Amino acid sequence: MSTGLMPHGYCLLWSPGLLRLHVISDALIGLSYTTIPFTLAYFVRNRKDLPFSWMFLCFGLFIIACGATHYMEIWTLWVPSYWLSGFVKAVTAAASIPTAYLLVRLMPRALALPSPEQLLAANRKLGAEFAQRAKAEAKFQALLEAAPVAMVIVDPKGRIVIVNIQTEKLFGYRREELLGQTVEILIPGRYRSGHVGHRSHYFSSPRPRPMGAGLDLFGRRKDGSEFAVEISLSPLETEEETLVMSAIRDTTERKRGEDTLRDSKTRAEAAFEELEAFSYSVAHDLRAPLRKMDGFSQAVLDDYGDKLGPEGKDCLQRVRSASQNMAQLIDDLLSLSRVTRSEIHPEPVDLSAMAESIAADLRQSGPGREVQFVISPGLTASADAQLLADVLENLLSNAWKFTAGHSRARIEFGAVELQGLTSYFVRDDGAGFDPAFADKLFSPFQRLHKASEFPGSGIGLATVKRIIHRHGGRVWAESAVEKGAAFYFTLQAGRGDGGK
Amino acid sequence: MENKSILLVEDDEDDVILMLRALKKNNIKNEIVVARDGVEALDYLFATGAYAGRNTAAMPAVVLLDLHLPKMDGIEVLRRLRADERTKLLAVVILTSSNEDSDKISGYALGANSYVRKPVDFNRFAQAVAQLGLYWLLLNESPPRTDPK
Repeated sequence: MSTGLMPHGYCLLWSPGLLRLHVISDALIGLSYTTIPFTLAYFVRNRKDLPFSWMFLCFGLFIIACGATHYMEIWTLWVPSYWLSGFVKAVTAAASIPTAYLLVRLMPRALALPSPEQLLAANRKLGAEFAQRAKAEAKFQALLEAAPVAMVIVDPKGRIVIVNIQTEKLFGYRREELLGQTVEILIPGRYRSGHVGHRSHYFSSPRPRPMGAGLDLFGRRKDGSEFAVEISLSPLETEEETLVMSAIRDTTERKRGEDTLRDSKTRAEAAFEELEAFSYSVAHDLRAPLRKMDGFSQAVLDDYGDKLGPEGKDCLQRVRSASQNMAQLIDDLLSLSRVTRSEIHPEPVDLSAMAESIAADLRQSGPGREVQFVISPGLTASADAQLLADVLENLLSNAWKFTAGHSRARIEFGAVELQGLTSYFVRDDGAGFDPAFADKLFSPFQRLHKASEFPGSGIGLATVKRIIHRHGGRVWAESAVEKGAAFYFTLQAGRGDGGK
Repeated sequence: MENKSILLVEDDEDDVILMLRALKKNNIKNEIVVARDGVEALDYLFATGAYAGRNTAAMPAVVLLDLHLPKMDGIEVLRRLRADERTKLLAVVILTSSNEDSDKISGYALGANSYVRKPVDFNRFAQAVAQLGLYWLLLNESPPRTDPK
């Protein structure tokens, strides 16, 4: 050991104070340098997540070596093992250089580490996003629950992923019983195998469309009962996969409604045919007895008239009149029913020309009468020609009839604009009627004059009203007793069957 | 005119009486043959059944045909008449109560010469029958007879 070298104590001249200072300082440093690495090792072991744990190990080694050099300082105060202490320093140097170098290399990465504030902020942001996502999902679920139809969402394997409360109600299952089951659980057994194929077909080209177009679909409840359904499908894209959303509606009520409608239609058609047949038999069978009543009454008059006397003859004449009256009534009723039965064939109609023609006929039927016809020219409309002719015939011959009591008469046919609609009118200056009874005018068989004053069955205006109503128009009359009457009507072009 | 006859095809007893009265009233004295249904009418015209042996050369001047007949209705009778060479040109007047368009259309389509609705008023009825009778018996030129070979 003694190589001629002097221990460091000599440098210090063995001054006790100096010796104490150096020994204590070096001892404390050595102690610290020895414990620090252990602390570091403990840290590294407990934070395995640390990215640069190897750096800490480097530091640990370096610090241990450093500590060792300080112990050697104490040793070399008394023992001149300068080779040993120099060697320990060399080891420390060897540890320190790479450590310093590596630390420099590490700096950029270390600087890039997020600060605790940054980490917290990032955390908070994630937390907020998560909350939003949870809200969106909750909203989605709420929408699904609020849907008025049963919603069933199915994954590509056909398993039920989501249902809503309507599904539970409709099929009678609790949702726990459905989630995870294949969707075929909701279908009657006989359709199940076919449905599996349809499912994969849908997934090959998913798009929003009704399911099973043109087919009758059925659902199956938990208790096994079946019911008619209508199903719409649409794809639902999520990050992981494409799901299928189906909306299922119970169509039992609607089908019942459709059946009822079909029944009603069939019954209505049957009733209509019966009406046609009835009208036909009315035409034939009711008139025949009347003809005979009239005919044989006349036969009696012809053969035994001279034996009857005036009263007897009068009785038979009344029998004949009554029969003919009834025949007229039957004809009027028949024409009224024909109006209801027949189809309207609208076409452009020259009303003025029609009126002129009817006026000419009327003039011819009573050449002795002085009647002035004032017909506005150029009045046209779109309507059924035959039925409109009946209307004008009726109104004009009424005007003719009810002006018969006057020596001169004036009958007008024209049109005015009332509330934006063209209103046609037939006006006369004849007997008129009491406006208090105006609403009775258009009812069948209602008459406001005695048959002896003015003949007629009273059915003509009812026919007019029905024809006008079938054209979608209105008919009304204005009058005062002995001040003439005006009958107005409108036609809704194109509306067709507007009335009873 | 006297050797021309009228065939009346009518099932209703009362109508037959009234029509005969009407014809008589108007001085039509020609032979009036009455068939009560379609089968009888065809029997008469084609000389079959009860009328076998009748001389078919002597066809009536006009047939007054009611539509409403038992066994075979008037339209069917008309169809058969028009289908047979012997009666294809025979004058047929449909005399009936019906005013339904469908009957008129069928009648004319099948070749009836005329369609007259029986009026309820007897006098008018008688007048109509008389007018028809006079027209077909007197005024109208019947088609020439085609004697069967």
